[in-house]
Amino acid sequence: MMLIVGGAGQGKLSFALRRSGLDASQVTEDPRAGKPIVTGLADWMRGEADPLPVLEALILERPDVILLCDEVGCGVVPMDPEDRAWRERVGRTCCALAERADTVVRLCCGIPTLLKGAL
Amino acid sequence: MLIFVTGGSGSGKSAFAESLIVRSGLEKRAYIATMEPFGAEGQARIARHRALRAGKGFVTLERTRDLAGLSVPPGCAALLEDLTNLFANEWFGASPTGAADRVLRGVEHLRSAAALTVVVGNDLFSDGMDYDAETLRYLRALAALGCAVAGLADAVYEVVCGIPICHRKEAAR
Repeated sequence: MMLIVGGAGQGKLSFALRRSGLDASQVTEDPRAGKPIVTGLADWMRGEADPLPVLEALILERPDVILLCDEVGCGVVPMDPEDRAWRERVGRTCCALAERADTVVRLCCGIPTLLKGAL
Repeated sequence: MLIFVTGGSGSGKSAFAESLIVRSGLEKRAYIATMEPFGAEGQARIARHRALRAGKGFVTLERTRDLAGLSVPPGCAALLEDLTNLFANEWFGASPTGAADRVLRGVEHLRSAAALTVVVGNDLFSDGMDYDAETLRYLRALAALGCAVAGLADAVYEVVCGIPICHRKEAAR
């Protein structure tokens, strides 16, 4: 499993498509859809109180899946308690995914930095 | 020796900072807790941090302000958690005037008293900065403080998804 993180609009999906050779039809925003590239995990986690088991099941089913998640923890603590809980959930889930990942890449201005594994 | 550890919320900064202290081999370990324990969420956050560092041999020193006046065991490994809370307490709880200087003097004090000082900071500056003028003033001062602490530090790490990225590492000064 490859985890790709970075701020919004930093080139995560372009990088994933380039690396994998897959096209946009193989991309989903729903981890239950069984596709090889799952993008928008941070947004998806808004509606998932316990996201990790769903993602673990996906990784078991598709060990080569590419997961993309916006980094959302780099601002002021949100005013709304649900936003705070979501932000915490996204951060902790990404830590757990990074532990399980073969490869972790962070995109910044379209430039990948390898954080774990090999490309 | 001063190490600065920064990163986003929920990125695994604390676990990494604690591992630096434990790996140092220094037996006297002080955890300097800066958070005002407000509300159930604050209590839950404190409980999570206590569980994380349980069994690692830390003495907890609560210090929400005036770090420069804190006595720490000489030659200890000190973990300051965190710069943002301490600065907010100085800025909002005392006065914005001189808040950054007070914190910076505190960090310098720790660095001279302890054998190893690890300071945990936060990246609060990468989500568009769409805030009111007062918050922006606070954020700019906090960002400058982070740069100043990093300037003093022998090593600077940013933690992403639990993985440390080394931005600077120098031989002990």
